[in-house]
Amino acid sequence: MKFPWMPAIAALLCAGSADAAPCSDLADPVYVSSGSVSQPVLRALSPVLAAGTGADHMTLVYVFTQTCDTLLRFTSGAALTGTGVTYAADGTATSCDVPEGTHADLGIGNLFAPSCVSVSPTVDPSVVSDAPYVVSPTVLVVPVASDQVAISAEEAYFVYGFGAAGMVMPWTDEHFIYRRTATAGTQVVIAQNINVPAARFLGVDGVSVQNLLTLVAAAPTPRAAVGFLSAADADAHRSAVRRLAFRAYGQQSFYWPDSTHASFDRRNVRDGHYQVWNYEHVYVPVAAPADGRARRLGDMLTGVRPLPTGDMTSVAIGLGFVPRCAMSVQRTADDDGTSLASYDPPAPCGCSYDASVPMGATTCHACTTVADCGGTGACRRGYCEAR
Amino acid sequence: MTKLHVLAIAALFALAGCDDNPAVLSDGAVIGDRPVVDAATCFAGTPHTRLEFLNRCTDAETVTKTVVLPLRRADGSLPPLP
Repeated sequence: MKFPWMPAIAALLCAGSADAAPCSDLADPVYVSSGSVSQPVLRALSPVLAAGTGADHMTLVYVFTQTCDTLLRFTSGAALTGTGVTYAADGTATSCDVPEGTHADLGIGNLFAPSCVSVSPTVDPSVVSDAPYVVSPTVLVVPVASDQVAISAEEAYFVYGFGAAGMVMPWTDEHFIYRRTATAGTQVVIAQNINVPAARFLGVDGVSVQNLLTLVAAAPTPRAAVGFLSAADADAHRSAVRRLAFRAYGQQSFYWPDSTHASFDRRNVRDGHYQVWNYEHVYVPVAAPADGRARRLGDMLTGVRPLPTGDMTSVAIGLGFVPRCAMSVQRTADDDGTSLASYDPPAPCGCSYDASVPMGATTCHACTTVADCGGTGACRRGYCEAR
Repeated sequence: MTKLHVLAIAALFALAGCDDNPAVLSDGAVIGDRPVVDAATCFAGTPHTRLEFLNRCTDAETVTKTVVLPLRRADGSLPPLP
């Protein structure tokens, strides 16, 4: 399916329809307040958890909420609003009515919790445990019919900060400069890398990931159009949009998130050459029961606890995210790379990551046991890793 | 225009014809054959700072593009947002 998110949109458009059943009728519902970037993860995990047993049996109810609104609700104790979406094993989305007074069990968003204080000053980051679980790069995109392949931070500063007045060719028509809102994670991460406050972006609000994708891809003047998406969303639609190589302030060259414009290895994200990325975070209320479903789900997402079947690393890779075990850099704040530092994951998976991505390959030795690795390191996910 | 120029342009047009390899752009940007990073100026040590990570030596594919910023100040700085 070219637009796999369409069923979810259709389900959301049916919000409040008279025939939607209450979400509370579902077996072991777990309400997840999440932005759209992790929606594919929830869709992928839904059948896995529906087949779980005991405390691992869950029906995930996805309630779309932007990151800082999720944290604001955890702070204020406000109930969820909107419609829940559940996913069947084939990915089909079904809407349900979230009962009045229902609170989110777990949140997912793409910012360190303290970053939301600048957007929503009443947010209290201490009400949740905040655990990054995968890396999500953001890319500036143009229609495939555009002739552009690269953009510098300076160019993007003028495009999004000045609009037409910035006179950066060919992005000088604000009707075709697409953005999101100040609270959207992708806009926040672009803002941090081009030094334009997220609330001051000029251009047309794409409203949602899906709509922005459509607007960019179908822009009547392709050369003038530009927008931004998560790399996973852009990769899923490479036939419609082209990812632009990016040059950060002070950087000598332009780079894609991947080692080439056509690959999927995220090598430049993983080694620090491409810094327009953030983590997807799991927010578990500190008051959540120690062995309750919310905390169990959070632990599964972060790899602390195994999934009932399969493994979270494979799920993340399959959806275009980078698991932390494949990263050699880390950050401790949402910034332009200032907090970037080397990272040695405790259980590295870089070899299997390289082998698993589309068009992937690795020079690492394949293994079935550590003995195949010459007695050093570890055999992880079929390849010899450093430990 | 020298023969070399003609050959180079012909080669670039041939590359531009590839379906998924927009190698030559009307504004002069070119997707390079790796590597383009200047080995004399890239950072070859163990990176610790943002700029060291950004400019670490690599064989990743890069793009050569002439950036034109009409509003950039004479000293190279950017004007404040309007």
